[in-house]
Amino acid sequence: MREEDKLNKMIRQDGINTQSEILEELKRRYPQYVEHSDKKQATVRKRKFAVILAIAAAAVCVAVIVPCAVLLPNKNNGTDNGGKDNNRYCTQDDYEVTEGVEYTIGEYRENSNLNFLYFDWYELGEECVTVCYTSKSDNEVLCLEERVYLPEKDEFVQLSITRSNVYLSEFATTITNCNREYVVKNHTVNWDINDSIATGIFEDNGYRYFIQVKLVQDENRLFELVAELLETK
Amino acid sequence: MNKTNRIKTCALLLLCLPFCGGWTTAPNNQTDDDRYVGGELIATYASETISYVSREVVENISTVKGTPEYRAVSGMENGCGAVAGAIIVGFYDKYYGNLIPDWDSYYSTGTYRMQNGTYVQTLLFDLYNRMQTNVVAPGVSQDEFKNGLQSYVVDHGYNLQYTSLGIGNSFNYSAFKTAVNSNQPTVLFVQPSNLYLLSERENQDVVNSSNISGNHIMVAYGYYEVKYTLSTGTRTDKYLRVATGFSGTATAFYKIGSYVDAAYKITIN
Repeated sequence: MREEDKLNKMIRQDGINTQSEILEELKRRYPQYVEHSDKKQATVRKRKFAVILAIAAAAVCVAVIVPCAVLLPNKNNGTDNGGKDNNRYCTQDDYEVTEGVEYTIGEYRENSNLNFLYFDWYELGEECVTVCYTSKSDNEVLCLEERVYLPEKDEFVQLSITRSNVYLSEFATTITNCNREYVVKNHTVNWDINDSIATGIFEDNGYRYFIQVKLVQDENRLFELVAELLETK
Repeated sequence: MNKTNRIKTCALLLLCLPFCGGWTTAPNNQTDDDRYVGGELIATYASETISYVSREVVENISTVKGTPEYRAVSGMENGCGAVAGAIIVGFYDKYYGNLIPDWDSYYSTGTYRMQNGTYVQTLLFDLYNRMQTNVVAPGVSQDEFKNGLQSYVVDHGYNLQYTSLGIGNSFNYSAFKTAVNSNQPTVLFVQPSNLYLLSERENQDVVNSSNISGNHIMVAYGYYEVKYTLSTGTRTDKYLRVATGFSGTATAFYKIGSYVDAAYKITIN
């Protein structure tokens, strides 16, 4: 039997029954023990409460604060060039896609005085569609894309141009999958071929070019197009 | 309740608060009321390399010239239903010319044309509205998709029939193959799931997996079976070819055996 229970039994034998009476009697008879015991229990309660609070705080931190802390800087990276990372990352929610704009990439280049490469294929294709990706936040043109259908080869070619520091989520899969390398005119082309669709990516003079050829037998046609584009420099 | 207990209770409630969202989420029981919002195609997150001794393409059949490859344009939030519907309409416009008035969806070679900023855009928004996209809740339900597409086809002078090709894990692959062989596309209603791109290398295939982030509607138009002879035995992979409706990855493979909420062969005449 524990010491405390022995004391309780002894007190009850003196005709004291209620808990408060027992406590009073204990305090009277053994003031040092009771004071110590109260303090110990209070300390234990405080410790338990502190542990619960710490767990609660940690849970809130993990569930709420950490994701915010991780997501916010990523979002800022997309719009703020003042930080260390000058890259601009955009998801589909960040930009508008306009199919069939009035101008061609060639006309845009001429009017804007920019120095990117493009295919002068407007006389060759049966149809040419120009697509513009514009930032919702500042109206900046993030990407220009042109698709042409070449009936002689029954082939679609698509050229997309971004600045080298602009990353659109739309191209994330392409960038990840194009993990083979081939050198064309001193430019490293990252490329891949999937189910008759050959895709190549390379950079030149601050711009990133994505070339996709659909309905091809092998990758050689892709490298021909890359060379053709680089020859327009 | 004394003060200590109240504090303990508060602390426990605080502890539980961050997880309440998870507890209140509806269970993942699929019903006809499920909404299809399209989501986004998450970039390749996994790759499997299959090293083989030999490789044989057992079957590789698609509808004639595949399907058009349309995608959502700005102002079409959660518009995967309208995009899939437009792909179906563009596909059949080759055979029933009034489906897209004053415009042919194909070139003289029979290859489907690229998305047009005028005619296809008008078609997309027409279907978007007919399907009541985002009216009741984000996206469309199966019924809203089916009624919206049917209404468009009937209003342009044709009939449309939906034939179920199974649900859940009981997708009727044999019936699907028959549909493809008869040049009929199938619309798939799927939950967040994987799409695959197959990269052929020397004595290796690399299978790249991307993930669709939300419930999605897409169009299946072919099947592809490849048998590998490995150093340890054989393996046969079976895929559906799908027009995803996503820009960047307009076509991809969908694995047979994946769960589908519904699949309907679509006939227009």
